[in-house]
Amino acid sequence: MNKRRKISLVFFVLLILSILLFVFSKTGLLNTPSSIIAKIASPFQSTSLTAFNFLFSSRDERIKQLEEENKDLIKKIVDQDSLSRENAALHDQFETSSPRSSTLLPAKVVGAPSFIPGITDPTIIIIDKGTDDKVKEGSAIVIKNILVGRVVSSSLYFSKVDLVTHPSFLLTVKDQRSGASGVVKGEGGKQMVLDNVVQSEDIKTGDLIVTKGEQRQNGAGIPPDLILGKVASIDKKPSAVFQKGEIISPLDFSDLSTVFIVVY
Amino acid sequence: MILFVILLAISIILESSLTTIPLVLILLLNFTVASRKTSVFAIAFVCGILIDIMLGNTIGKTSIFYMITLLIVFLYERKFDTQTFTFVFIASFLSSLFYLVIFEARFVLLTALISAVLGITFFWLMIAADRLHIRDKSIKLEYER
Repeated sequence: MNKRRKISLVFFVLLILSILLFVFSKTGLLNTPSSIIAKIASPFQSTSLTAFNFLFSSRDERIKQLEEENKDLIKKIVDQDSLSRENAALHDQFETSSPRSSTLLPAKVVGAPSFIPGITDPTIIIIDKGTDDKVKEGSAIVIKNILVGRVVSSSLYFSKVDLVTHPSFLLTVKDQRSGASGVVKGEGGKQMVLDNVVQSEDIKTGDLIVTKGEQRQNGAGIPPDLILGKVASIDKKPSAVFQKGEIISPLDFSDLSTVFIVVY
Repeated sequence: MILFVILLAISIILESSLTTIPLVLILLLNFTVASRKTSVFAIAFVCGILIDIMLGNTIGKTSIFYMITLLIVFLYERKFDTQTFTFVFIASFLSSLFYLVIFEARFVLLTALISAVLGITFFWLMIAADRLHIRDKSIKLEYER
């Protein structure tokens, strides 16, 4: 057979096969076989990530300790605020709420591709829990009570998570101090943009931004009062309809090893 | 060939766990330029499927991109010499650029530049090791025989 014809034939056969696989994948027909392959490959993924973090993680122990203490203190502030509001709500019979009980499922991070590993932050992670462990699309991923991200796709044994800094991440939030509402959008790195905050609302540098809570039809969702980060700067122009802010997360996304899935 | 397969396997693992630099694409491009074999399409197909599974993408997306890129290289090769550093650099840069834009990665230009540098580095290593006999420029193009 002429070499050119052979190239064309091979190309078109494989292209059609790829397109068919793409269509089947979209309809969910390939979940089981792809999950099995991912399960076989995951030890290699997690080994390379663990080995890299072990060999190249040069962060001072003292800095790590201080970061952990910082997270604990932020958690205490939010918990205290939640308790006082719950107290006030309990006194008023018409404002009681009964959030559905949820459990935290630990998951190991097996993949966290970034531009320069250890230096630039990833915007997605792969975790070793999937639909077999009752993980659903839209489930919240947390560390302590800090929001890490949201599950965007799940196979039987693995899930892909968009971190809060992913450009397609969007969530309604509020200022923990003033209650001002807004929308958070990922910007990459450690940053997020707080947008759609009405000019009359009060937000200040240093304010904690927390989730408002959202529930999806499939039962998954992001619980309220999870921390996203602190307001690092504010952009308030009188001529603009909304004011904006820059939010920095307290997490080091390049060093995630174990996260927790909120499972209802 | 075995060495190439081992390098591909390592690249797939690194690309799915550590880095967004398209290592597999660079290797496939180099292999296409050096060997000019149609078997590269089958290898690209399998690698694309594996990358998609391990990254949780829709299966087939990466394969389609790889195969179209390699077809363009084959088509270009009919008229021009592709076994040059210039071509490998430009092909690695442009294909990485499009790949990173389509798959929504960050630091697109810088990553594409690094991919191009890695591409020519690997090409130089292949020449130095005299793999696939690309040192001898007098070899006829396969489809002209």
